Amino acid sequence: MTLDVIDRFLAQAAAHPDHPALMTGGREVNYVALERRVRGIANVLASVRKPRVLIALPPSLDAYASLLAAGLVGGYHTPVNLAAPVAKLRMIAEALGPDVIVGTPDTLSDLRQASPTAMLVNASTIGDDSLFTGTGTRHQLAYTIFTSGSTGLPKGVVVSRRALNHYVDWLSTFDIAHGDRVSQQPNLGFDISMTDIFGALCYGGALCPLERDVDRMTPALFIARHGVTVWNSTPSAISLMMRARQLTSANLRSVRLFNFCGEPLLKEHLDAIFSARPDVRVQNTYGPTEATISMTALELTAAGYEDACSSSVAIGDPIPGMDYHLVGGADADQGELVITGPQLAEGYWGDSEKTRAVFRATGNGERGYFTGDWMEHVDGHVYFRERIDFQVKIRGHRVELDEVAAAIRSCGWPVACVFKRGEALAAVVEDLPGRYFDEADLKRALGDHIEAHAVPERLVQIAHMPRNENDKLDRQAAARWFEANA
Amino acid sequence: MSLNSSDIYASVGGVFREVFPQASGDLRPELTPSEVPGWDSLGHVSLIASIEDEFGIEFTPDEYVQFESVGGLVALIETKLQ
Repeated sequence: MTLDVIDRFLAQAAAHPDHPALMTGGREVNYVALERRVRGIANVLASVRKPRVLIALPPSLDAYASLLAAGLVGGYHTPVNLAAPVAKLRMIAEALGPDVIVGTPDTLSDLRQASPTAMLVNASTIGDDSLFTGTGTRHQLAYTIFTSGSTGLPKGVVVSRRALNHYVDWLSTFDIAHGDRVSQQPNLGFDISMTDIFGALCYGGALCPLERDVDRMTPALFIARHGVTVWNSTPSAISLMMRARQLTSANLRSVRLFNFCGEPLLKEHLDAIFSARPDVRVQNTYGPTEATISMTALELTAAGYEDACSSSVAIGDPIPGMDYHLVGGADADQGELVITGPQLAEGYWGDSEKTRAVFRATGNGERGYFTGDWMEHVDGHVYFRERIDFQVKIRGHRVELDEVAAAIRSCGWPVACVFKRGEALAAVVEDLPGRYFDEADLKRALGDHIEAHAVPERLVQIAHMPRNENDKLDRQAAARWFEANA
Repeated sequence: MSLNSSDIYASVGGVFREVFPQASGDLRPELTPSEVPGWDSLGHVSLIASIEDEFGIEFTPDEYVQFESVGGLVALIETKLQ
């Protein structure tokens, strides 16, 4: 039977109370101290039955303890990204209607009006004189995480404990144990932060949050300073290390595993990592929030990674217990990726219509999640091509915007956003230091890679492509920039 | 040879326009990242890498986040060149 994440954590704390659980504010918090903090916060949360807990705290001891405390007392949590605009946080609070908000005086004051019925808990006022005792109870749900919706209204993805526990069970393949230092780079409102938190605390490792701006700006130096052994992030953190010229074997010496999730990993990321650390283990994973963090894995090594690189790195095989297949393509080797298995989310918070639209029966009657991600099967590997919303028709031809972006990449410009503009395509191409950008030249070169109707009518250079708060390329912002500047 | 403030300011201007070609208007000391398209974390790191090359200096990690405007950057370079 799959163990619950809370019970895994309690077992670690019981077995190894003195082992470090968290490196925060320049000090080490061991498992017994973390458990004590969890029980202190749980004691307050337990005054509400099955509490729905919104956590509005920066990555810190209290944030991690609150998340575990919510699970311990039979509730579930919604962590939010404090870097997001306050208006968005209020929309989330309003949509969720939490029973409890655990925050700082500032975040509580920001969110008070949006959830008038919630109990507001200032984490810093909770002491450890009264502790919750026992192993508590477990809710059917683990968390609700809000992702950006296409309409601008955040969508709450409701994830069960069964789904989370299945994923965390698979995390045993990371071989995390005492002695490991696990990075905590993604913001808490981004579900890949759960990989770090449960990956470390359910398996006896120490969680190392990037707490300061300087840590987030110079992640390779953070790795070197803290001796991080397991690094997990979107690939854009690698871009940052490359740009800062800090992706060196000396800085990355301690790392034994790089795990990537959340956006396509590119060959240049692997080139850089393996050139600094040819012996390191690298893993690419894929998964929408709706399938609980990630549900594929591909191990990459310096010797053979190039065979798994196309316009991006292959997504890998489904993890045990999960499955995927491609539907709606011209043949069996392409189509929309549909996911089945125990990690599927329950649906969207308060939106049964949207839930029915994408969580529906597959050909064999099994419940599936239709990802909207178009994939292609080539030479034994499955590659992400693009979002189905990004397939457009240009003069009657179906064009995949990411295929055009991939063509721009093969012409030597690694970062580009392509979008439909009127009856043609336009693209914004990120500047490359030391390389001269000539629109006409690039158009001519693209003609060798893609059909004439797919070559953008306008290609404009931008110094830095806009990215969203989760560091993903922001196509809409690029299109807006184009309209304002081109 | 030592650079005076206006030399530094002029050199920073050149680097700045190279890193952020879509920055509009004149370079002002009070210019902050929120006013410049592309001045996000990746842009900030790129700016620092180019400044390091231009002046032959090296920023410590803390200095990466020590300045929040063009004026702050120029002042930091002055200190480092002394």
